[in-house]
Amino acid sequence: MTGKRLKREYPLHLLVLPSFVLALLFSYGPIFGLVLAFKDFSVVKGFGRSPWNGFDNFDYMFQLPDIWQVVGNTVYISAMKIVAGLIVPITVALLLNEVTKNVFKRWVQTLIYLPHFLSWIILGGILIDILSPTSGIVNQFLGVFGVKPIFFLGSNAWFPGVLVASDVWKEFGFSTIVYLAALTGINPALYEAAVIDGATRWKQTLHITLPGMTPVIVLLATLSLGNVLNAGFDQVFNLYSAQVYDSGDIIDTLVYRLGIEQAQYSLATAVGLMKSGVSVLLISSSYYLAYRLANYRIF
Amino acid sequence: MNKRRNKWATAAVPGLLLLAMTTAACGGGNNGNNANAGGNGDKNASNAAANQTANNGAADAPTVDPNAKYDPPIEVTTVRYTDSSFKFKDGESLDNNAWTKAYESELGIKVKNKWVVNGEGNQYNQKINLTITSGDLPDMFMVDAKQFRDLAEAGKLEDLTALVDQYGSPLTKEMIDRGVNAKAAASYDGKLYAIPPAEDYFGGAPLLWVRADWMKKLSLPEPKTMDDFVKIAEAFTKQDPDGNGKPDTYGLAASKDVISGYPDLSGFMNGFHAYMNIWVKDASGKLVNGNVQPEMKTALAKLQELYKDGVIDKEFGIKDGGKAAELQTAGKVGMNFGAMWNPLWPLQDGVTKDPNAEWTPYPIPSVDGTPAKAQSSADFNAFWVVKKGAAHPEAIVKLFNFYNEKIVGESAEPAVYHTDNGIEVFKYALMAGGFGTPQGLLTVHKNVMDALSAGDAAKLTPEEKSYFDKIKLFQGGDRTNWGTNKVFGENGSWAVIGASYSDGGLLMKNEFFGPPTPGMTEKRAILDKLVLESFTKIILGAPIGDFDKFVENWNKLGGEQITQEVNDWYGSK
Repeated sequence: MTGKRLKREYPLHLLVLPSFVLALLFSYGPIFGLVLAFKDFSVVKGFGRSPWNGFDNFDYMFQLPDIWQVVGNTVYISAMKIVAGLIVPITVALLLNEVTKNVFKRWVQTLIYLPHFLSWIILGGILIDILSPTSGIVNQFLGVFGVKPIFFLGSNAWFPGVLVASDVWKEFGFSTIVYLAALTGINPALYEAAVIDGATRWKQTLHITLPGMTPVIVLLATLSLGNVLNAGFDQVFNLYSAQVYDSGDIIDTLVYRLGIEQAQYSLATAVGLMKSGVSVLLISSSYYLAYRLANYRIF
Repeated sequence: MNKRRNKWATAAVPGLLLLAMTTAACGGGNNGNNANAGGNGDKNASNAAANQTANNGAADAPTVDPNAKYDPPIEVTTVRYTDSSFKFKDGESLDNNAWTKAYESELGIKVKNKWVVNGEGNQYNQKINLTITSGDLPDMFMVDAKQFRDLAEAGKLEDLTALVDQYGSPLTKEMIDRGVNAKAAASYDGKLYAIPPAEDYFGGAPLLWVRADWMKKLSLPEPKTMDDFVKIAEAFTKQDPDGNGKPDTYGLAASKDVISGYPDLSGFMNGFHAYMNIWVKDASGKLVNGNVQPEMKTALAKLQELYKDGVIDKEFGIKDGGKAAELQTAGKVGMNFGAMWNPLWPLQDGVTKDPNAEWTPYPIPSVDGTPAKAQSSADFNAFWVVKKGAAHPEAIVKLFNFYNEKIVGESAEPAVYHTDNGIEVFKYALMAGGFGTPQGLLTVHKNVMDALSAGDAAKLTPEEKSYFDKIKLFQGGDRTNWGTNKVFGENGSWAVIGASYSDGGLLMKNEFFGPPTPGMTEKRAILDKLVLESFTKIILGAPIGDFDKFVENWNKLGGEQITQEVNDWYGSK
């Protein structure tokens, strides 16, 4: 019977084949490269003949003088990004959902979505200009209210905040669209019933809209937890400077200078492996929590 | 500009690089072993062949002409890269062009490219790494310093010492012997294992660039000493040199990278006999790192003072070279330290915009009676090597002879081998990198100046002719060619370099030019961060006493170990 079924369905299998091969080749194949993390890799000796060195690469990483400061920066920055990256788009989506003028809604959606397409190399240059304490538009605006110029990108107190704010500004339009899509899936009959029961707008939001969005919120929150060790290489690399190493140097920038600029591939692989390990752990535990607390399952 | 482009390139590369490395890994399991088995077999075969030819050669030696054409022709394999600057005539490619044809017809050498990679140098480097890993090496190929050292150590390269002696033309020997440090870098254990790269210590040496029109307007003296320099810097900051009535000008350009080709504060340090990021000899003859010497403390203290006085942009600490250039080309900065190419970028932009703007280069001013020496490193990163067991290792010398002969020798044919109708044919040649003029661009400058004063461009190479033409255009009033004139023309970069750094010998060369030591590979990223962070903070106003703490940390975090390794290298050189 299976043979018969296979015969009937083989074109479908053929259709799947290319993506299957690609996934195997580019997602599963490279996993073998992880052996690098446990080797003292030398280009001349190659993969097979480079000597094993156990956990030396990991030891070395954790003995770096600034490692804990760097890990701390990473977690701090990315945690703030995750929280702000959930709250802001949800709020905006709820507000936009209340807008009845469709033209206005679409304009706003498109405009806030636009920065998502700009690269950090470009935005880095723009931010340095608009945040400049002498000529930047932000400080000129603050100056109207008598605020003394703030050196946003050169001060350790402000730098993480600037990273979070600019990241949220760049990405919230994209997430907003995801939440808006979730909102369209809510049954309008629920609202009608609520109106008949005398629920105000606020009550409707609280008891219909938010619960209706919960699956998507939990899904995105769970997935974003896996990024807790990714504080955003592109962004930090384009904005940081020696002045703000104390608050802005993250794992990825450190590894970039260490692993890539100095060609220590083993070390870079070890850090990558460690980050993946932590991500798997966090995603699994948050998935479990989502299941226990919100009775929500992704799979 | 190159430096900047590299930065973006390297920023984008890590992902790709890791991907490439890991994909190689998955194929590495069994295939690697098979390939090795095959490789060994080949090697034995070619060794036998080499022995045979060596025997034959020995028998015929007295009658053989070192430059004789191979008959029948031999085949030599190599690997190449092209980038966007390579242009080809219809039907031509790296496999088929004026050079490959000449190699075959004049030398009897068929050069076969096993692969040609498109893209900038980085991709070539990765692909060579993979090629080395796979063990399937071509007969001759180009490697960087680290790969060179690894291969030489592993005994995978052919010793070229005797071959250069036997087959090298006088011009070839002159080329190789002129670059003393380059030759040392291409040697291992006292034997020459590569055709060394060209040696250029002038191209990166810092000069002081000053807005000459501002200097004249405020009737300031030329910057002969550091005191003059400081006086000019303060005047440029406080006396409104651009005449717009606002205190919005700066005396000195700086960027967050502190030294990055442009703007390059190492020139400022040199004025205090301090040398940034290079290894110099101390009184006892040992090599020491310039960053941790007491002179550096004095220089940083002065920079801190200048920063406090507003001579340097308050925001320099977050701006990269590109951002700093915007400020300077907007006519807000009066001086910068930087290399000979600064007129082309960024100064040209400002000169094009402002008809009054004029910049003049000066040698580094000194803080005391001893003339300042400009610091300079030469990167040796292009070594042409022959794999151990290649059938005709001497072919590389013959090819190099031929290149030198056709580019600078008596029988040079620039129209065929250098530039043909605007197409840069010389790039197709093997070992083309940087060779061709014994003194590099200094020779170009001298030839151009001779031609200008004689009013006759007939003897110039196409490259020189292009500068000659641009300078003529500038002299005719075209300010968009100001940069070329300022680099090669009268009172330009090379005029100053020639007089002060070449003839005057005011150059402090980086005494270390080997491949990175193990300590450097492991600790350099940490030390670089420490240096950049400490220096930036001191310039921004941290107590100057922090410098001593910095030196202590630097030694503790690996500086001491690296110093030891550098001195070991120096002793064994």
